[in-house]
This record gives sequence, structure tokens and C-alpha cells, in this order.
Amino acid sequence: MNQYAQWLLRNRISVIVIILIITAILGVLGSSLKIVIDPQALAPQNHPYIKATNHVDEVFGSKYLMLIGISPKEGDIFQPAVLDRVERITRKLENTPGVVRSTMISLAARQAKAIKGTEEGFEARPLLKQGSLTEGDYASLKQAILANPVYMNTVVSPDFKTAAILVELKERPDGFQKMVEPVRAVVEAELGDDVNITLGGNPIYLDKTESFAQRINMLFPIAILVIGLLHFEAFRSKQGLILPLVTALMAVAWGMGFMGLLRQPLDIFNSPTPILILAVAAGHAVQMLKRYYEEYATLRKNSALSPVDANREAVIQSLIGIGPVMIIAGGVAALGFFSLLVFDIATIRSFGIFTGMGILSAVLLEVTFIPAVRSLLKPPGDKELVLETKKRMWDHIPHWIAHQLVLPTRRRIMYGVWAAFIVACLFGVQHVEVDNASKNFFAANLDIQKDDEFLNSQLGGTNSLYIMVESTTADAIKNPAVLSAIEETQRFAEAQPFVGKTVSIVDYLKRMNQAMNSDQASANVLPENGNLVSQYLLLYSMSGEPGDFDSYVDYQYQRAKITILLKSGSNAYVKDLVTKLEDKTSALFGPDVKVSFGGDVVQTIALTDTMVEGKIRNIAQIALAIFVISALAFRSFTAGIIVLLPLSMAVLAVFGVMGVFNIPLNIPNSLISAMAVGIGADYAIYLLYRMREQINAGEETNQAIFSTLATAGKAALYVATAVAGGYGVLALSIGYNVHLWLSLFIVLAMIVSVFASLTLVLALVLSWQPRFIFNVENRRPVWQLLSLLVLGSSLLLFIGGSAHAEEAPTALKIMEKNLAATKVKDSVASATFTLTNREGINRVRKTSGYTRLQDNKDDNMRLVRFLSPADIKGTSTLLIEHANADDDMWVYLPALGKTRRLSASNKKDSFVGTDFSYGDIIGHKPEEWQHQLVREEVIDGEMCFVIESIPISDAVKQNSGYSKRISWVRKSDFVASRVDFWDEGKQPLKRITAKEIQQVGKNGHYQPMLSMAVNLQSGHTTTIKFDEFKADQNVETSRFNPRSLDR
Amino acid sequence: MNFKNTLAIIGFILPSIVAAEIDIDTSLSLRGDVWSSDRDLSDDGAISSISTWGRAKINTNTFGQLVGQGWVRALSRDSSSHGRIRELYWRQQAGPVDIKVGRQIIAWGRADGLNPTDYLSPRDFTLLTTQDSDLRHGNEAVNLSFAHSTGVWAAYWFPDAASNTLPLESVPGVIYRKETAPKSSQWALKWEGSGTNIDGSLSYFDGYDPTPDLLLGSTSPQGIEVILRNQRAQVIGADISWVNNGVIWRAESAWLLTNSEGPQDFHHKKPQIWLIGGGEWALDNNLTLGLQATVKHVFDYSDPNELAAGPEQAIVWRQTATSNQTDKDQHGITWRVAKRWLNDTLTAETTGVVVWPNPGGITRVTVDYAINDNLRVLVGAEDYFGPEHSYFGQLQRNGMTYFQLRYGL
Repeated sequence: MNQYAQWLLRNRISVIVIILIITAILGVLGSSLKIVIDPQALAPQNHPYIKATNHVDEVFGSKYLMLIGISPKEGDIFQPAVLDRVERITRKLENTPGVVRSTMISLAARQAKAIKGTEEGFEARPLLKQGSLTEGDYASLKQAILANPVYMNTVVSPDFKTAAILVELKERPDGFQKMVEPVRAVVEAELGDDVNITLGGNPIYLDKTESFAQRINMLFPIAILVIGLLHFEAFRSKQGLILPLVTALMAVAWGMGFMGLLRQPLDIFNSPTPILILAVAAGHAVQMLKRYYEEYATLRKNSALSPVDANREAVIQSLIGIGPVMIIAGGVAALGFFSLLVFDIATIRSFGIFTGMGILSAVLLEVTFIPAVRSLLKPPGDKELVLETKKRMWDHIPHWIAHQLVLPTRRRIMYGVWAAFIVACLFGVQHVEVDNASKNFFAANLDIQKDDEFLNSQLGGTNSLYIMVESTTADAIKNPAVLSAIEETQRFAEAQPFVGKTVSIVDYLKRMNQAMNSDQASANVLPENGNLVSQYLLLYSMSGEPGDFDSYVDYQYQRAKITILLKSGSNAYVKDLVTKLEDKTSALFGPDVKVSFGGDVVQTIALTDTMVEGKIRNIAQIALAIFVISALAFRSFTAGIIVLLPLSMAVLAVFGVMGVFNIPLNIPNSLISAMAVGIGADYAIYLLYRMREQINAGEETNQAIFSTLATAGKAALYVATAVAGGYGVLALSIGYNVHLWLSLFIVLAMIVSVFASLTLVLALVLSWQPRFIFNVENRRPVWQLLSLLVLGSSLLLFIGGSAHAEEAPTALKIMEKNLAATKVKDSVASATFTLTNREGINRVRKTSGYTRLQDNKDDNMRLVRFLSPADIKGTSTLLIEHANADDDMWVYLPALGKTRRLSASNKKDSFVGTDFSYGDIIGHKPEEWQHQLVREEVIDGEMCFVIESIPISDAVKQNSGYSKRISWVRKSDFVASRVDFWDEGKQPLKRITAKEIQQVGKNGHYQPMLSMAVNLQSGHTTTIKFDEFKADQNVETSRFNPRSLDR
Repeated sequence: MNFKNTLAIIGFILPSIVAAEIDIDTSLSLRGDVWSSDRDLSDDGAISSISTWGRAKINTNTFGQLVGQGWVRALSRDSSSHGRIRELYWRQQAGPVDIKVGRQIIAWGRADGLNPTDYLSPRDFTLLTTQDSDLRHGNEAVNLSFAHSTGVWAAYWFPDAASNTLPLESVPGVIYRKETAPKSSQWALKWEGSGTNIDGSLSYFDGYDPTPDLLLGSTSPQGIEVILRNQRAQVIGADISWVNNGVIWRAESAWLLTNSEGPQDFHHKKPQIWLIGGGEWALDNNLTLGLQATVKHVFDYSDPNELAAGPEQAIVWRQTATSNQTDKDQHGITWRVAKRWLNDTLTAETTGVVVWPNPGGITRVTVDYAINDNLRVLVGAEDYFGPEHSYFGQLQRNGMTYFQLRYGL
């Protein structure tokens, strides 16, 4: 370290310039970060509930339910002020991007029909008549609602005081604000003095979460001010104020820069990251500065060095003294955050890795930039030294603690106090309740809470649970046994508390039966046989519309959805309800029918399950990592145990308070233990290191305790105060519990861990007299410490799960292998393209085709000839790819008798009229995309890498037509078995799945024999089935010539 | 070499083909249609037809490919059947050399719709079809092309000339006499090159203009005879297509040389230079927009009004209109806007040409809906406009609407 310090001072100008340039670059990258919540990144995609929710979303478009309530200030809903608004809002929402039109329900929704008995049977007529309504129309509407109870508690409150519009929103990767914004705009245009319009549902909460998370922009400068003032109070010097803040701000810029570099947006979990990095970096800077003052004062006192030489020597000595321990402490803190990689939730992993990188940046800056700058600054004056060394609270507290420690009796009392503390905390821990409901993120007095409460009191509920009943055969839902089981499930659900409404196709069938039988109350039952069901549906279709039941059954009557509206989103309650429903449905439905649960409430259960599982693993892992690193650093198991103790106390305190004060354990709070450990591990390490240093210097044990506490102990107090002060600023975020909890628990964790370190760590040193402190020979060179850190990191990441640890560095390789996996030298194939529209109408096209790689082994030539149907028979297309230029493409149209050049520069164009684009067929060049390995997952029995790919430029985005792709790449052969695509507006666009993947040719390549592309927006599907595929056939180049297309 | 020669050659080759391992590929299109007018410039009103269009390809492993296509139809008005073998040729490829022998359609030109270099295969402009390309039929030819690193070099030899079939207005006292196409050979050369995102060609044709000139014949008590004669012409042509940023740019030009003896020679088409060029944009939502500019200059132009009024002047007017040489300099634009819906099953397209200084042109609208893979419905309309003595104006009576049901097998 001495040699390094000398080198650093020799090259200080170069070091400062380089660091400033890097900081500027990273600062620019970090400045463009935005706070968004990507729902996909939030959800643990492996969880069965998330899979089921995604499946329900695929089939019915139901994932995020939002409610709009319109209540007149006077009278009931049967007045123009309400019904006209319902009509206008409904019509506008039908054409609003992001709204699932097919499932939207309101009095004015196109699918909202009143079923009414007629002489011929029954008919379905729109509930709400268009145009101006008379009193008679209002009476008829009321009558229709009463006769069709399916609408009660869904679009109308039982007291007719509120009319509601239930809107399901499509998921967007750019957050909930963008998701809700268009709907909010429609609603705001309809606000008026005569009605109250209220919004509810999970998207509203998540929208608000995003909006409140933006407060960090305001809180961050305040945190800087608070931390700066605390440092000024501690050091009473400008250097003491400025230097730690410079380190901290630069570390923030670096950490944010890395986030920007890896195109990682801020979300609610990493939006406080800047404050965290600021606080931790400032803490390390304080340790260094404190040591510098000590060394400078000693040198000025005990040597004849000039102030300038003493300054230089003090910089070197403080770097030698603090540098190694800072690397260890910073490394442990970073490892604490890296340990979040074990979570199955991408956003938490991002938080962990980027916070860790921010802390490592702080350490790096503290051993490079800051000493270099300090050596250039004017040495502290005598007055400054006197002020710094003046005894104040920061000295009195460590001194008092030292007194207690050196006396065995007092030490035992102190042990007793901590034991009592542990018991009290354990009592609190028993009462910790896991609940991720986003409602809890906000104070109860906020308007959104009141609106939610109002809607819950008026309607069925603002929380949605979906049960999907799925068979393998078409028309299975029409089976009376299945319908009866659906009805029983509904009745069972309705008997549970907080269930406000259930709706399914059964409700409509019962109403049809009743209408068919002169509206007799006794006929409000399910039809007795399947034929009658089919006939009712046929009869309905004569006056209704084909999409009326899109919310409840799929087109083939193979799947049905039961919607359950709940008045509570509490995790414990929902979990209990789902468990009961799972038991009930498994008894009601036969083995041929699969039942799965989806909706926003089960998504939060999935989050909770994952978080709890991850949390236990996380704590154990951090403990193990810290134990191992500390034990290796000090070459002692005892050291490992001692370092762990203060952290254990901090974690216990956090969970104990959580339990006692009934604060839910949720994702934001779950991160606190990692933060507490990451930040708090420093203190014990600094103290032990200093204690050993004092003993090595020949001090007597008790004196060493006093010295250690007076120096490292005092610095630890500074650090804890700064961190607590920085986080305490979050308490100003009134109404947003996430920030309040963070503030409360970090302050608590800091207080507990610093006092546990100052007392317990040194007390145990005295009681156990460990060899790693008292054996003077037991010293390790710095390079060994660094090696240990690297080893520890590797160990941690290995334990954390090699899958997550691989992240970005290998994602590009995977995608390169993916592209190469199917790139055969040449091929001869015949294929059948089946194009199916939303209505299930098929168009079948048979083709023959040839491909051949060009001499550069990268670009392909591709000839496709259509063999049927008659209208396109003989049409041939030829595509010649060019790596560094637009591709060439020609088409031969037999009707024209000409070969014509086409524009093929646009990869997003449809490949010969299918749902595959040319880019999908050719393959997207990996280097044009930023890839990230987000997780691993089993699909069709094969373990897959799940890779998220973002275009590196707008040009790539425009050319491909995609803003994001997620590929499931099989580990065994690197073939993608599924790829999801998002359009340029970041809306889910398409899903391609590959089946029957076979090895082809002689060179270890693969080909899916069946590929299916589903356009999620239009419902259109294309299946390409290879009837024959032969690779490596020596296809001659001359085939790929425009003049040969007419052959 | 006439069609009989083609049959003889094919007949000679056929046994070998039969003996070889073959793969037969056929397609058939059955069409039933109703037209509000014929294309004969008559006032006879609506007409309907049923027709069958077929195409067959016999591929052999060693003896090349035999290609044939044609149609037969029955018209409602005169109940006469009619048919045509549009193509019947044998094709063989041997390495870089490709040879086609027999009746074949050769369509030149990279521009969209209007092709100044397109002189090789004749068209029947009276045929009731929904697509321009169906008007065309092949003529006997030997086509030899050689692919080389410098491009594709092609040579064509036509033993006989071929003539377009023009709509002829029935005028009392006017007798049309269509001379048979000359039995003189024609030939052509073409070089085609292709690079990344660009291709083009240079061509030369020496033969007979397939559009006949109208000449004053003898006068008899029955009336005035108007002769339709295909006359010698040479055409030097060039075209290019280029793709840049998703836009396809196309340009084509041709310099027509005729035997015209000067401004006062109204018995020959005048030499001309014709250029056309423009772009095609693929806009969002399956919308395609094509726009081209066209410029034509006629050398040795004379105004037919300089002639004394009478039968000769009337015929010269008709001749210049048929040749589209009624102006010394003609400018114009062409457009094509096509939009596809319902996964390409429904296509609506409008195309058209407007020229000036004597404003004239044509507008077409078609809607094509594929009910399923086999059955299509086409509805369309064509409207010609312009002065009577102009290419488009003279065809005003051919304006029509139509409906076609097409079943493909």
C-alpha cells in the first residue's frame, strides 16, 4: 500500500484528470435515467401464479383491472349527468390505446346486453339506449339491470348511486403512469360539478407509486445538505464538509452512470439508490478523513516536518492505515448488495448490482481521487486541528462506552441488555406479516385510498381475481357438468368474506334460460343439457354480437374465465381464499379440466412467495458471505462471528419493529436488511482492524480499547449519523410509506449496528481475547486481502445462483449462439404456412424453398416459391442479405410475367404476408441489440436462458419494428423455443414459439419443424410447418438469381 | 418460325420429355365476369363472359422445362368461343446459359405501369381482363441468355413480327384492313446488371412496332379503307431500379427510331424519346404509394391541323392519337395507391395517368377480396378522359365498371 500511495502522489494530476473524465462520461449516462415500473421486471416470471396470470392475459387480455366510478352528487344514476358520461367515456375508451376493448364493461359497453324474453325466445339488446333518454327509458334500464343481475355490483351499485366502467389495461414495459395516463385523460375531460368520478384498482396504486417515487429528485439535494451539515458538525472544517461530499456525489454519478450504461431504468426499488450511495460513500470518506486528521496532527506534533510535507505524509499514512480496511469494508458492503442477485425478481437484482457498483465506485474514488486531491490542498491550519480534536459528543460517547467495556461487571450488564434486546426483537419478529398489497404503500388519508374505499363500498371490489377453466377440447365449456362446476365455484367464492361479485358465462346462460321461460324465478338455473346451451348461445348470437362473451369464454369454448371482485387485496386474505378455491375447484372439476388462477391479487401473492423465500436465502447468504470474508481477512473464525453480531442485531431490530408496529414486510422493506447489513458491516471491520493495529503498536489492551473507540469508533459514529441523516430525509416524503419505512428502518439499523459494534464487538474482543487481535505476527499483506475479497465475491455469487450471476456478460454470447444454431450452410425445404385470423378462419399456403449461406458465412440467400393456393401459385421471392447494406429482394409475379425489385431494407415488413417479419426469418443481428440474461426457466421440459434484448439505437428499433424482445433460448442447443416482441410503442406485439426442434444436416445445426407466430394485437396467427427440411445439400448458387425466379 | 414451328419443335422435344423423370405443375383459374362495356369502342352496352385461364409447367430432370399457358372464353353477346395459347415454350438451362424456344411473353421495363422499352410482346387491347398483364400474349422467339460476372447478356430472335390488337371505332364508310404482321425477323439485345440494392439494363430492339400505324388506303363505293400496318422501328432503351431507405426508385427511358421521313410524313410514327421515373413508398398499415413523372418528346412533330380537313386528316389524327404523339412534348404523372386489409385478403387500389398540355388520362379503381384461398371477388372501374384527338380521349367509350368472380385451382 505504501508503494501504491507513493505512486498515486507522483501521478496525482493524471489520476485526477482521468477520474474526472470518467465521472463526466458516467454522469452524462446517468442523467438520462427515468423512474418507471416495468410490470414484467417486477413479477417473478417463474412463479406458477405469474405464469397463470400471463396465460389468462394471453387468452382473455385480463391482467390489470381499473375501475372508474361515476356517482351523482344528487339522486341516482338515472340522469343524463351520469349516463351521458358513461356513454362518452366508454366510447372514448374503446379507441384509447392500451385499453382491452373486448373486455371493457359498462352500461354503455357494446357487449353489455340485456337479455329479454320474447315470443320467439329471447333477445339481447344493448342495456343503454343511445340518444336522449326519457323517464320511461330510465325505468326500462333499471328494470333491465334488475332482470340481469350480472351487472349489479359490477357496472352499477345496488343502491343505483354509482355507475362504473371496468377497464382492463394492457401491460406496458415503460410503467404504469404511461398505462393509466390515456385513461385518466379521458376521465378528466368528463369531470364536473354534478358528479364525483373516482378511480380504483391496482394500476391506480402503481401509477401513484411511480409518481411518488419521483420525489427522490427533490429529496436528494436535501439529503446532500443534511449529510454535509453533519460532516461539518463532526469536523468543523471546510475540508470535512466538502471532501466526503465530493466522494459521495462522484460515487453517485458513477453508480448512476453504470445504470445508464446498462440501460437500466430507475424504479421504486432503485430510485433511493442515489441517497444510499451518497450516504455509504460519505461514510467511507469520513473514515479516511478522520484518519488523515489523526496522522497529520501526530506528524505535526512529533516530527519536524513542514505543514506541506506533513500533509503529504499524512495522506500516505492515512491511505496505508485505512485503505486496506476500506477495501474490505466496502467489498463486504458491495457483496451485501450483490447478494440480492438471488431474487427471482429482475428489478431487485438490478438494485443489488447497481448499489454494489456504486459502493465499489466510492471505495475506488476514496483510494485514488480523494488522496490525490487532498495532497494538493492546503494543509489544515492549527485552528482547524484544534477544532477537530476538541472533545465533543462524538468523543464523549465512545469514551463512555470504553469505560463500560473495560470493567468486567459493566460488560456483563451490557451483555444482559443486548440479550433483553434480542428477546424483545424476537417477540416482534413473531408478528411480522408479509403483505405486498400496493395499497399499503400509501397513507390512509390520501385521496386514492378514499376513492378505493368508496368503490369497494359501492361495488363488488377493486381487486380482481381470475379463475381460468381450461379443457383440451373445443366446446368443453358447454358441457353442463363443467358449467355446473363453474357455478358451484362462484357460489363458494361468494360465500367467502370480502368477495363482492363473481361473474362468468354461467350468469348469462342462467339468464337466457330464465328469459326463455317467461322470466320465471324458478328458471334462473343452468340449462340441463349441452345442446340447449348451444342453442341458447345460437339464439343469443342472432341479436347479440360475436364478441359479447369475449371476457368469459374463448372463441372455441375451450376456456372460460370466472371473474371474482374482491374488496380486499390483503395478501394473507387472498392467499387463504386462493387456497380454499384451489381445494374446492380440484374437487369440482374433473381431471380433464385444468384450473388456474390469475389477476393482480395473485400476482402480489407470487411476489410475496418469492420474496419470503428469497429473503431467508438472502439473509443466510449475506451472513455466510460476511462470515467467510471476515474470517479470511482476519484469518479467524472468531472474527467472522464477531463481525456478524452487530448485523444480526440490526436485522433483528428491523424485523422486531416491523412486527411490533404492524408494518408489512413487502418488497421495499425486504431490501432493508440487505441495506442494513451492507452499510453496517463496515463498523465492526473498521473497529477490529484498528484494535489490532493498536495492539500491534504495543498498546495495553484497555488502552487499545480507548484508542480504538476514540478513533475508529468516533468515525463509525460520524458515518452512522451521516447515513441515518441522509435516509432520514426520506421521512419528508409524507403519504408515501415506502419512503417512510426506508427512512425509519435505515435509521434504526444504523443506530443498532453502530452501537452493537461499539459495544458488543469490542466487548467480545475483551472477553474472548482472540488470537487474530492479540497475535502480533498475524498480519496479511494488502494483495492477500484483495485476493480474499475476490474469492469471497466469487463464493457469494456462486451461492447466489450461478444463473443470475452470469447476467449481461454472457447474454450476447448466448444470442450469438442462438443465431448460429439454425444457420445451416444450405437447405432445401417444403413448408405449409397456415394463416389464421381471430375468428379462426384459415388460409393455407404451401411453399418450397432454398437457402444458402454466402461466402462470408454470415449472410443468407433465401428463395421461397409458393405452390398453392391458386391465386399466388408460382409467386417467388428471393432475398439476398447483406451484412453492411440493405438486403436485396425480388419478387416474381406470374400475373405480370416480370421479376420486380422490392424494398427489403425494412426488416419489420411481413415475410410473405405472414405474422413473421423478414427480421424474424433472417434473424436479428446480436450486435445490434443490448442483451441481458434475466433468468432461467423451463419451457417444454427444456431449461432456457431468458434473454431480454433492447435495440441499441432508434434506427435498429425502427428497422426491426421492435422496442424489446425476450427470447427463451434452450440451454441444450441454443435454439429459441419462444420469443416475445414489443412494438415500437412498447406494447406487447407478438409471440413466436418453436416446437419439434430437430438436428439437421451434418454440422450440428437445428431447425424447429413447427413455428408459430401470434400477433397479440390482432389475434392473427401464422404457423409454419416444415413438411420436409434437408440441410447441407450443396444447393447451387445459381438458384439464387432474379432471372431464375420464373422457373 | 410461326406457331406451327413452335409446335413442331415442342413435338420433337416432347417424347424426350415424356421419357424423362418429370414433375408437372399446373394451375387453373375459372372466371365469371360482367362488364358494363366492351373494349371495342362500341355502344353495345354490358357484356358478360366466362373464361378459363390455365398454366402448366413440366419440369424434367434432364430435358429442361416445358411451359404453356392460355385461355378460353365464351362471351354473352355473340356466344362465340375464343381462346389463345399465350405461351408455349421449352426452356433449358446449362450452367450460365439459359435458352427458351417457342412462343413466349417477354416483358421489358422496370417502371411501374408504363414501360417505354416494352416493344417485344404484343397485347390485345380489346380483351376483357381485369389486369393489364393479361392483355399480353407471347410471340415466337428464341431467347438465349448468358450469365456472366459482368451481368446477364441476352439475345432474342423473332422469326416474325407481332401486332397489338387495337380497339377500332366502327365508323360508317370506314373499312379497316389489318395487314398481317410482317414475316420479317426481328432481334434484340439486352444487358442486365445487378448490384447491392440496384439493378438496371441497357437494351436494343430492331423489329416492328407492335402498335400498327393507321394509313389511308383505297377509296371505293363501300367507303374509305384504313390500313393497319406494323412498321419497322428500332428502340434503344435503358432502365434502372434502386432501393434506398425503403423507397424503391425506378426509371426507364427509350429512344424510338422509325422510318419517318420528316415532319410532313404522317404515314409513320415519329421518332421519340420517352422517359419515366419515380418512387414507390411502403407506408404504414399496408399502404403503398407509387408516383412517377413521365416526359415524352416527339421529333419531327407536325400538327395534323396543318392538313386539309378531310378523311386523311381524320386518319392522321387517329394515327397520332393511337401512337400517343398528339403533342410535341408531353408531360404527365402516374400514380398507384394500394391498401391492404384483413391480412391481405382485401386490397383496394387506384392507379392512373394524367398527361398534359392537352389534359387527358385514365383512372382505375379496383377492389379485390379473397373470400378464401380459392375464391376471389374483384370489382373495378376504369375512366378515360381527354380531348377526342388524344390517346386517352379516343378511348373514352371504353370506360367501364366490372365485377369478376374468380375461382382458382
